[in-house]
Amino acid sequence: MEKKRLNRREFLRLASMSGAALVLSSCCPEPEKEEVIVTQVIEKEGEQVVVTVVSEAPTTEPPPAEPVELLYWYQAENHEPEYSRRKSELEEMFDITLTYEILDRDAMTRKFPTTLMAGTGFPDIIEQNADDIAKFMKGTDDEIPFVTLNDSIDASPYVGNVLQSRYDRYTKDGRTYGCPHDVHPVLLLYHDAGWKEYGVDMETVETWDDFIAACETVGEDATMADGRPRYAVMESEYSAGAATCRLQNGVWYTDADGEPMIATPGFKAAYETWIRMDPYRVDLDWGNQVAMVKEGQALSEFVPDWLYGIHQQGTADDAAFVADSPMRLKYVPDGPVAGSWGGAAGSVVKQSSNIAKAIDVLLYLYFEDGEGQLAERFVDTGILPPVPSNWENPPYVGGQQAGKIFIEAAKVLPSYHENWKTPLVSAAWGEQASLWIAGDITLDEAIAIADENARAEIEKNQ
Amino acid sequence: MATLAEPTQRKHRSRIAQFFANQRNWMPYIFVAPFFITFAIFQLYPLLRSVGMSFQESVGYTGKWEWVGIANYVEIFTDDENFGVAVKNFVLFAAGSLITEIPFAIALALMLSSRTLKGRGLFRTLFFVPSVLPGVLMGLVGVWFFSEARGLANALVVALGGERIKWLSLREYILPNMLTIAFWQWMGNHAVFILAGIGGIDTSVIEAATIDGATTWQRVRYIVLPLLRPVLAFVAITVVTGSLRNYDIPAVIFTGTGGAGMGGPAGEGWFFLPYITDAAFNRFRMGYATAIGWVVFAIAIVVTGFQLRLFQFGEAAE
Repeated sequence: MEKKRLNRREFLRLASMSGAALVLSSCCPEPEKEEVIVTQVIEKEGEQVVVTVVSEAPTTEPPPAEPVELLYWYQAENHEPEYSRRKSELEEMFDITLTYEILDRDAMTRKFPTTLMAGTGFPDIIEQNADDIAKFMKGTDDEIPFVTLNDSIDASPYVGNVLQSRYDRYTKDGRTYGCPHDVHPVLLLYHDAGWKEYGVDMETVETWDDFIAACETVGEDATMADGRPRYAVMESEYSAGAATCRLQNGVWYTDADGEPMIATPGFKAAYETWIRMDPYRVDLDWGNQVAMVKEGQALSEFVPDWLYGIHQQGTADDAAFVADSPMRLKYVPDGPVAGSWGGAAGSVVKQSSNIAKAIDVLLYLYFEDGEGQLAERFVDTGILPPVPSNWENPPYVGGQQAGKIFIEAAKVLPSYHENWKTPLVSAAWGEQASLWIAGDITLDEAIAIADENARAEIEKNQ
Repeated sequence: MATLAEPTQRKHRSRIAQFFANQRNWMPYIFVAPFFITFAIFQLYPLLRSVGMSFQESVGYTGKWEWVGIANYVEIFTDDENFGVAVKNFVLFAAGSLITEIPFAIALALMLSSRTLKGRGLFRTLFFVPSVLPGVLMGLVGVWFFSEARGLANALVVALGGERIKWLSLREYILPNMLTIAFWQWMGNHAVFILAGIGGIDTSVIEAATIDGATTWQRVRYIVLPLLRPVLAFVAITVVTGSLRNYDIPAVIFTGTGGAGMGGPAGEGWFFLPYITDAAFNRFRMGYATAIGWVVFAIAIVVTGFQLRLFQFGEAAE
């Protein structure tokens, strides 16, 4: 059989004709549906009535409405097991097609505003790190890209169920822009056997004075049996112990009006307490912290529930972990009032075309516990949901020491407020705090410089 | 008179018709059109748009842009200490990188080019590997290296009888830390380029010099280094442009070790890209961030032009 090769001219002609045909075919109107005339003769009391029905053929049931598509962004990898498990439950409950997209924090903070600028690709629901939501709380309600949730929360079955102190963090001028996913109260995780080597029973440690005295017993140059250095506490200036000291003194970085709180007496008092740990502490080592605490190289660490969950990894269950390991949990010094570290919150994006549905899904996912969903969240992730009404139910308390004391601390967690000024103030403090801790400047100098810098940054970035 | 105009029109039409009658005239434009269309949409338009954005201000995500004229540029040069810190750090970091990395890279390349050295391929690979590792990983290694309690740097200091140093908390160590990590990451990479340059030198020239009695130093000074000028120019330019783009390592070191944020201790650790990122995505000043971007672009042009002239790039070797 003879093969015919196309020359360049023929190829181009064919290609252009195919393209034109494709364009024309897409421009054609849909073919009109064929009408079928059905004539039915009905006998009605001796007389015949002819009924003619005109219908489209083929006569089939109308197609079901397409489920609404919702895009859900989140960044906490430890939320993934719960969200994957509940995907079909949410889809059936709300007649939606739910797509999750997990992004790391940096990617989310860059991608989200750019999708809003582009007007496409943004999620319907976004679950962010709490610090990142604050950055968007700039300007008036018109400028904030999230839907105000107050009315929806008030109209939902969950109103009054959720810890109000966690809403406060995502509320500006009375408008709530985020639902809290968690509580994150802080406890003290300690290596009981390790402390007892120094004659310290941590159960008896109640106040900061007691705790510092215990640290002094360990000393600044303690070593492990193999000669490695040993530390009374693992803690950084930005982590849970510092947050605890601040909230115990009634301060955060900014107040409800967004005013910096660095220069308040409470702020100074908080860090005067915190710095007393400095000689006995080691900076938080993200890569080695679990091993260091389990081994007793770091004898204690301030942990919110999520960080405790990391320590718990690889242990069969919470009760066994607490019972069999030399590690214990207790209230922070001067507790149970403690700080909070970290957090995630879900918001509904104003540009979403399915706002009502997105709000329903978010509230249900976060707060519904009719089938024990929140209990499973705690078991799966170690994260305590912000729904006190459910804390009394198993398995939160059911024999779980950790859950019980986390709950008691969560009940008395103070409120604090954040908005776009908060990251500026915390960064200004962080820049000076590292110098102060290193002994380069005094606490008063650090506070004065940080307060001035924070106010200047706020002024510039209005 | 009208009869005179008609042939001209006909002639004009026939030229257009002639152009399209011959595929060779217009077909090349069809073939290159996809590139130019995508270039115009995805590169040229954003580039031109960003020029306009630098004279505007917005949080970005609202779509509202306010015209501010040259206010952003005025603020950069008159009311932004952090930008001044970034300029100072760029100059010192670039100069420090050139001074520390290139001489060692030349020495290493000469060593690796020695025929008497065994396992040259292995050494080349070992020195080259850090340059292909992600910057974030290098930052994490840096955090460990300079950790006060567990870092190798303090282990050496203590072994030598010194006291532990808070490398990551004090402003005076910001640049030494950065230069140490950059040296480790890039010196081997530069050495491989220089080694390739050495490989391109005609051995007969060096042999002739050896026969004429030139010492090793004289051969390096008067033959190898002049012939390596284009390679050294390339390496120097990449070192300086790399200093402009320094992002991963300061971001990891400053945000991964404390609450100081991207600016580092006392806000003395700003570099250009972390600062632009902070302005755009933490403070949501998109116009201002864009203006800084254009100033950095101008700095890059000036510095690269200066280097090209310094190395007489493109001119014949003497």
